Amino acid sequence: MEKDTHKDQLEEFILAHQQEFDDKMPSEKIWVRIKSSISRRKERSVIYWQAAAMIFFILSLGLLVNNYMGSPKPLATRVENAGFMATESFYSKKILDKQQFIMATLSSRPVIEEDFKEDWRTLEENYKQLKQEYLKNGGDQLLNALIINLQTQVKLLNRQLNIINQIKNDEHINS
Amino acid sequence: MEGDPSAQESLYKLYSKAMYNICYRMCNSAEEAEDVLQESFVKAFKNLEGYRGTASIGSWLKRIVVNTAINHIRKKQLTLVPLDQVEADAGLPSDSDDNYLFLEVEKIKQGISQLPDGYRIVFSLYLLEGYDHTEIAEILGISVSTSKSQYNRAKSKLRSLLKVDNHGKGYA
Repeated sequence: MEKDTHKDQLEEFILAHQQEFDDKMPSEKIWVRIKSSISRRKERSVIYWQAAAMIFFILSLGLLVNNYMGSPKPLATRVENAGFMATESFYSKKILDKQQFIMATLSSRPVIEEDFKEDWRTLEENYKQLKQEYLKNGGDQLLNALIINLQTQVKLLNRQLNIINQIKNDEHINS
Repeated sequence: MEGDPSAQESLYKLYSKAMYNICYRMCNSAEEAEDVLQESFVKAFKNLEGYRGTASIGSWLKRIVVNTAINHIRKKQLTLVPLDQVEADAGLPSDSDDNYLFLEVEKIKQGISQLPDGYRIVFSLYLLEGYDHTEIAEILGISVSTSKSQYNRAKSKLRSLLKVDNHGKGYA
């Protein structure tokens, strides 16, 4: 888009002295903070990938075992479903509390929050697939896989809480 | 370059000063400018794969900085000066009064820092960062005519701050 070429005296003066308007220097601690933020991001990324890989492995193993355990595939019974629902409810409460606390803490850190949300969505998607498979086919192997999955989510949230505490400590030291 | 610490540091050293000054002009605060600068470079290093080479890396970085600053300022509930203030600004000096202005870089910088957020941001984006009104409208989510009117009012306000009195001294 073409800019208005007519300039008045004030505009011409500012444009002629433009470089003099860029006279401020950022403090040296900014680069230190950026480096620290990048390394924390890498660390988090490794943790999430490990968790996601673990869940994917469990999901694949569950499906594989289910396919080889013979046919016809049994539907999850009412008793199994009730047991699963109770287990899920127990872990969901734990997960929700921790997740809400983490999201509230991260709301002032949009970059980390965005990453966390993204990774969390991946984990939830894996969990949903596993749950659908269990509700369709039932079986102890899938139930165990689901429970391990929930336990992994709790562990992951605990690790995120540790990271948040670490960030807070770092900020306290740097401030 | 993504994940290469020495390349990242070189990029930071090359552009941090220019980008910091943009942050400072937009936020009008050293502390907030540093936060925005940090967040912008972390975003840039994360999304370096998204840089397609269609613009210079400086322009690409500048756009990240500007967008990050806008988001930061919006959290403080930035509002552009409403249209009904046009009446109040009607008595401000026009272009033809430029002969009576006290033109000195330091005075102008002080004047810019005294402008309301909306005026200051549009003025800086247009005159110092080189965006046109269509781009500013897109960045700020406003109409092109609003961008133009904010700019003209910012300029008039700045003129009033730089106007010299009868003894040749600036008011600002």
